[in-house]
Amino acid sequence: MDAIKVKNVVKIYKSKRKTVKALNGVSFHVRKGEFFALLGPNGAGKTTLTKILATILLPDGGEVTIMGYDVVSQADKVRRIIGWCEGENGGRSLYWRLSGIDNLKLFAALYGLNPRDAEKRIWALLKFLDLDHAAYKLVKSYSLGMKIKLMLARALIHDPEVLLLDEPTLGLDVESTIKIRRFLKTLCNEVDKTIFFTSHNMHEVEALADRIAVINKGKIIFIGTPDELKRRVEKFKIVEVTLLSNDAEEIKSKLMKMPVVRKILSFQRRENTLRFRVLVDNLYEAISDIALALKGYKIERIERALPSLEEAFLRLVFQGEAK
Amino acid sequence: MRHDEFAFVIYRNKVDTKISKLHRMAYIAWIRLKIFTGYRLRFALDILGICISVLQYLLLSLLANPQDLARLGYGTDYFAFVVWGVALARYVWDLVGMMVHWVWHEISSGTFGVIVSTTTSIKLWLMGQALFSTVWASIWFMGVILVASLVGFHPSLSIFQLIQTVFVILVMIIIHAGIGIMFTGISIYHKQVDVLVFLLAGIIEMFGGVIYPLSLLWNIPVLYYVALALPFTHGLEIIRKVAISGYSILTPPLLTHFIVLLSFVWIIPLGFKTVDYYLAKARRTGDVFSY
Repeated sequence: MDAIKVKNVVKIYKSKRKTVKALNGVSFHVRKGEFFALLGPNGAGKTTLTKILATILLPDGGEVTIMGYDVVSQADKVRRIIGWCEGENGGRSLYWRLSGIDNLKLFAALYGLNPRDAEKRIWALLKFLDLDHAAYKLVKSYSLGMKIKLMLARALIHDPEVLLLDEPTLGLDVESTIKIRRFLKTLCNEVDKTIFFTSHNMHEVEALADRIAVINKGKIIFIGTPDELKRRVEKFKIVEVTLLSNDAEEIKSKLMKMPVVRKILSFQRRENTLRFRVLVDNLYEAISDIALALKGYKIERIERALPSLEEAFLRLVFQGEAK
Repeated sequence: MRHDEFAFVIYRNKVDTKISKLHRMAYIAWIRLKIFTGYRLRFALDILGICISVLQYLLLSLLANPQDLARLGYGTDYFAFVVWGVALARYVWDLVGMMVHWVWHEISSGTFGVIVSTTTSIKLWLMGQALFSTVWASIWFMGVILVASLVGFHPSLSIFQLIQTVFVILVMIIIHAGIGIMFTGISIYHKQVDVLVFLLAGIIEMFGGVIYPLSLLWNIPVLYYVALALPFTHGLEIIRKVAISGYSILTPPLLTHFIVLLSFVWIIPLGFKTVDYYLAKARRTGDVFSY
């Protein structure tokens, strides 16, 4: 069964000076129990789409249903089954002058939860998200990670079937990010929640998502699994080299001068080891040319590499390779 | 907490979502009160404001001629006359101002959009805000009366006068809550409508008979009719005549004022319609979040 269906959705922002087509015929579906990620650069239409799913923005055309309910004509029913967490604003949507527990109690009441049930659920969520020690502290004293966890707890307070998460880990430290990712994966895998997730972070998407959609300039340019996205851009020839050297700048300038190298995709230095990935036109010619240019250095490995999800995404979005 | 324990509490018990609308409304008002009491400096400044305005009118009352006032049927105590006016003007101003201010606060702090996405309708949420604003405005109304009583205002109301006064105040509050709801509806889309609140306060103070009797406006008929177009004017006129001069609300001139006051009840559905209209507009244009 499809949890979310989006069909030919159009959203246009009009002002006196200009008209912006934020969504231009977007269509996709998300299966029940699926972890679905929407990727795209800034201004691609991710937040607009999430707000339409959250019923706070009306589309100008097309059809959007969540668990069979229309987000425009049956918004009340949709609101019962969705939980929305907007990480993008750094916890602004919480009441900072209330304690964490009061924030959750308020939203439990707004969702009509019986106070006794609400109390049980609030404490279970606070404990599971390691916020129980700060339950009575004012939110203004919370760290960003704590605020985001509290927003997640708020989104889950009424046991929604579908979670809409707009960049929930944006700006978090590594430890909090890992905890939240683990929590989301648990929700999806073990309690069958459908998760619609937007992110800029490719590693996160690769680790979590069952399927991804890439949106750019209001249009979906790819839908499939992370592996499918990588395979889609497999035709791009990437050479990865690992060598022992400290002359990073010299090697970089040599690479940039080589006609066979189109672009340096990544360049990492760890102690006295350098590792870089370059985009090339002709794979075999490039491998031999690079090996020749780096003659005298201790090359540990030189080989063809598959694009990372991040590289695949960048190729799709910025160079229109999907076409 | 172990994962299976968490899952048991969170996902294996069906969630009961059947609390009454009244319960939700009361909770919204309670939480708002809790947030508001966190701003302690504002408390102190409000008390100071009340003291200054009462003292200002006390001094003004020394200039008034008691005989002129008695001739118009308001007793001989101008201070009592003006305290009722100021206290009630402050009451409705606080009520409307609070509602508009808090919606603006919710929009600018980013909580409004999340509230819209819950199962509580914005109308119910606004009624919760109105309840909070009424409680808060009532506290300040009592504050004005209390401070004034410390400097010479001694209202002596019989039970019958008290019941009538409270009843008329209640009607005034309900009607002005409707104005508050209408203004908050406008602010959802047009944002900073504090100016509208100040305009209302200015109009009420100037034409509503707060510091001078309504009949003084007779000399300028246009202004007199502007005054009659305000629900506040009718409410204040009744309360003064009942509380100061001991008239019954059923006496013909007061009954007329009361019927006119009641006729302003249409403002309440108009307020809700305004909210529906502007919320739909903000959802179309994406202005639910902008400020």
